[in-house]
Amino acid sequence: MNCSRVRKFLTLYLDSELSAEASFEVSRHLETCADCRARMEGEARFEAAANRALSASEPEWTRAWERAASRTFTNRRRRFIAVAAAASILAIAAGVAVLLAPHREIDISRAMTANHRRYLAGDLPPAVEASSTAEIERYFAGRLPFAVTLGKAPSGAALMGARSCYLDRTPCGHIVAHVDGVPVSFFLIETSQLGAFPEVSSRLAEADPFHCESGPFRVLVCRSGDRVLCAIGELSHERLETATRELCDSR
Amino acid sequence: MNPSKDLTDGLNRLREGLTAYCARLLWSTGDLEDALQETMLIALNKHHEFEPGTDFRAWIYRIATLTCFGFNRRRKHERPAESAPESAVSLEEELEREYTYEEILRDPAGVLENFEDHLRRACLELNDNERAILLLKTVGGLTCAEIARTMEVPLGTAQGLLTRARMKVREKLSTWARAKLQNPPGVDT
Ligand SMILES: [Zn+2]
Repeated sequence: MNCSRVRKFLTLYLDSELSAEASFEVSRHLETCADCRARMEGEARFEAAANRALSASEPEWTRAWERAASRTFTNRRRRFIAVAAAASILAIAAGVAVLLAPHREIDISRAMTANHRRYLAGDLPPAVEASSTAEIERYFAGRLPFAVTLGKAPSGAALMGARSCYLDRTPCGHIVAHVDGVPVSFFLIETSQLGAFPEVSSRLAEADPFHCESGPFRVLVCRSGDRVLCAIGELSHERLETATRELCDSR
Repeated sequence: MNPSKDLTDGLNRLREGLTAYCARLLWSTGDLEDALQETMLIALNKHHEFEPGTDFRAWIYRIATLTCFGFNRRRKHERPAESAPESAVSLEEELEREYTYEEILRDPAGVLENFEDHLRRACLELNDNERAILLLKTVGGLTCAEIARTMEVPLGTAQGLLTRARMKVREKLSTWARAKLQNPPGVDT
């Protein structure tokens, strides 16, 4: 074996993963080639450093494991699994996931969270600053493929502004307000566009408004006429709902 | 009688590696708790299919891998575009690369500030299969034979993918290190 071929095999050699033959060839080369030996020591150092960097745990991960385990293995929930045991295994997995976690994230909440986080990080500032819902309606006119009619600014809330954007690839109006000082994003999409989010469509058929959680945020989705209103923020479900109703009540 | 006792014992033995594995494989660590829960649920429901005496670690890592891939697919639109393949390089550049590469191997943290962050980022820029295989090795501590069973590929393919993933990570770090060496400190890129 020549140097370049040996070097290709060095990491697997260090893992003791090579066949006996190949391993013998590499070690025979290393006996006579100081450069490759130095390279091997470097590779070992690098692997050790990579191992440390990638294996280092974070406290939040430990909590994630504990919560996941307790939700999966507590006795109360085990009963659901027994009940579901008659169905096919994959169907059980899906069904149980729904039973165990009625508030888990769904398609639309992921998209909302991504947009809201970007707003919080300052990546997506409002295109227009607005202090009244009338200003926001004027801004959206012509920018969205549907008309937006709003109620008033929710009590206890300061309107920050708005922009037209996309949830996944669905056009939407994004309104930002600080409710009780907490940043909240409201998204408006057309009901006819709901097909882009099959999970939320089926959930809304069961419960309207629909609530779920996404990381630290509460998420609300409800229908109002031919619009779907979505809200996300670190508020209680109740507070999120009253604010959404006020903002979107166009009577 | 507790049919899930074996499973919870098995999971608990692997919890640190499995958690770090999922956290690094996922595009968004915000999905970690959900991904772990889904992994546990599927394991619980399929546990009767697991043959005692066979490789539990490969079995559970396979479930975790497929689960995380599923979460990553849902976040596809959030990913940065794949970097374009590099064009041919001159001999000088080849030599310079070789030099940076050796420097990195000699003293990883000395050449690149925040070496650990760079390394995690390089790992995240691999495609899902390569990242999974690299993490199964470094974080999960699986052998190539176990990796092959986990990913359901032949042993040679697993070894080849592992080698390629490692090379890609090293190349990315070399590129960043070269950029650092060429830019005066303070001009952070
Ligand atoms: Zn050599």
